[in-house]
Amino acid sequence: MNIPARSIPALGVVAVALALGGCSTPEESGTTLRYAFWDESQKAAMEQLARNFEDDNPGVSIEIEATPFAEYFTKLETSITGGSGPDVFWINASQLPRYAEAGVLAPIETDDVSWEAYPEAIEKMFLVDGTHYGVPRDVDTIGLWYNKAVFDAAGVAYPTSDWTWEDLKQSATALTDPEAGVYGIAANFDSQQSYYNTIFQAGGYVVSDDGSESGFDDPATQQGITFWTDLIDAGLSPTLSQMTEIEPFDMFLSNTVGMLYAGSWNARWMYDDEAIRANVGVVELPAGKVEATVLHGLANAVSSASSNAALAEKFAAYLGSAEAAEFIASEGVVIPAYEGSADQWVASMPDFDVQVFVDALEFGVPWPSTPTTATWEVVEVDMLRPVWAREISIQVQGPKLAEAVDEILVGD
Amino acid sequence: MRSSSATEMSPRRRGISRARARETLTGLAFIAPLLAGLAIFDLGPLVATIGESFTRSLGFGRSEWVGIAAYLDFFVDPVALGAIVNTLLYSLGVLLGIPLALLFAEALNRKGLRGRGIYRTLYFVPVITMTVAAAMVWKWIFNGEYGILNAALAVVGIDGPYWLTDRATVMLAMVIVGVWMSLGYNIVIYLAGLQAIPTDVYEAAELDGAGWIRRFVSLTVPMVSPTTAFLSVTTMISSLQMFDLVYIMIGPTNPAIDSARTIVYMFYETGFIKQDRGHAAAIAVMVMLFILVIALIQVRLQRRWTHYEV
Repeated sequence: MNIPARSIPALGVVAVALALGGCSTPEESGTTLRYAFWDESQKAAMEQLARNFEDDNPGVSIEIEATPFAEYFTKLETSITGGSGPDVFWINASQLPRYAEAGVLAPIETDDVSWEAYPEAIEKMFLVDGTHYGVPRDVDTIGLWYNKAVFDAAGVAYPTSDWTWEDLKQSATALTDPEAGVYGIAANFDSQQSYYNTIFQAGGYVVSDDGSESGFDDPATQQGITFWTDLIDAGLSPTLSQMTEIEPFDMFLSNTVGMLYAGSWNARWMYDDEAIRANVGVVELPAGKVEATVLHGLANAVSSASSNAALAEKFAAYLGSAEAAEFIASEGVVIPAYEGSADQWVASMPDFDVQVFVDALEFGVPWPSTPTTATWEVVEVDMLRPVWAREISIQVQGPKLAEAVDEILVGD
Repeated sequence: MRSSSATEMSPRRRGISRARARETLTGLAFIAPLLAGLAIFDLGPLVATIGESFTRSLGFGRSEWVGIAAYLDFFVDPVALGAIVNTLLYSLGVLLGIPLALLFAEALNRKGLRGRGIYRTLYFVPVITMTVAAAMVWKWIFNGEYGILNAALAVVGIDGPYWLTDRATVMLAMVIVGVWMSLGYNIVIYLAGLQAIPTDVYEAAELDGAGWIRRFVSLTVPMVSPTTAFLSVTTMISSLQMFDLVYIMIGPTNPAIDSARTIVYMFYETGFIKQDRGHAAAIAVMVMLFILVIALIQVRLQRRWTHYEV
């Protein structure tokens, strides 16, 4: 394109005008609510819910913003700090206390929410000092997944939901074949999908109920760790090095690992792959001293800086309603928190016994969370890593870790 | 510029200085957009970072004043000391790629080399490759079970290590990628340096009976020493800020992270995972001072061995 030299300044003016114009969003009639979440695979349901709400509330429009989980909370905190945060957004149980303590969440006080419709343990996760800060959305628990090909090859019977730790070890021993490079189970270095479950099953705790004390110096808590490190020592699980080189999930799906602890949110994508669907099954986690699983979940929270607080609260309440739960269940990705609406999620995957995840809600132990979770979690990973790498025992490292976490908890 | 020029022109000084003032103003007007950008996007954040480094972040923009606590922490924190050692090891390793680049440049500079353009392009491709993409590919090359590197080693009977999860080899692996990524750029700069050397010097040396090695060591190496100096300073500055290789290839649950964590990765852990922006700001300031000191030392040292005249 040829541009006469004399028209360049004019072009500059146009460019500046365009740039300035881009700064302000076009005015819309009525009210706009911004809704932020992270799971792209649930976008269609989110959009449908937003349209439904718009239909019921003329003049309101909902803008949907999806951000990948890895950047979600960094972006959310930055935008809230900068005064440009969304009105309604997803928040999980581990982040909620921090947000509530900072005063950036609006208390949920509307009568539109029927709190008795949510299991008590889930409602409690979003309750700080007796005030609700989020309308429960979905929940997740952990199950024992097994690879049928690995079990068939070794001639071992599939796991059942009444298994104990001892049963798991016996089967893992029978499945392990060093020659073929097959391991019974992967001792995944992951809190939610591995060692928090066994800590709870051993009768231990990660953080005391009043949030003042770390449990890693407690012998029961340490048993929940040695459960896994013993499996590595016995050669029934790959080492941390091996599991860093190849993801445990990849080992599991490629028939080199027979069993894996993994969350309910993995059911959908495995189900959607026919080869995987035919080859894996799921049962309840084996019981230790007690039956337990990590119970975690998400809520829809309202920003305290929202200029349409009442409407935002109404939207959050709608997102936690029975009607919305049905939509979420039909996507089949997560278990809706609304009591009774899990059935549709279960029915969406008839070839998997995903009912075990719903049954596990009964003995679920809420995710340990305090306002400083983000800080002590990093310390925990840092100090448990050498334990997993078998460089130091949990009996030696546990008290040191507890001391370091206690120091952070004082700040709460 | 000669310092005596002002006095020589003293009779017309007033006129000149008015013209000068105009010139200066015009010049300033020309660089004003850049200067404004620099002030807003570089100097402003720099000052803000230094200010923030004396605080502890409480999240959502709230912070409390802690003075120089974060700086004192830095000097007693074993993680920070480990990160400094790792960063220096990595930077020194990547510096070793500079002589390698000179050898390649010399080879590529040969008269009558066939397919010279293809070679040059091949060596330059890593430079324009996104680090993240390169790191992803190298992560697979280094994979202990299925990596192509260990497969190649197995052919000659060597049982290769788990490169990226073994503390003994993780730094070597990162240096290999670092050298691979910087080689092409260094070669191009060296080629320019080599082409600036007058051919008559070589012809004279050849007449005197100097062989290829002798000419390379006694002529080429000293003649390109300004280029070497430039490359060693820029390589050092960029290596000291290495972050992406650790982020992509290593990660927080890797058992070898303590032998791979660089200062900038530690900055990321502190600021973005632990969410303590104040402490992270202090680390950032330390990185800046660290780079400044090392660059100054390098500039000092190079005066002793750099030939700036032909």
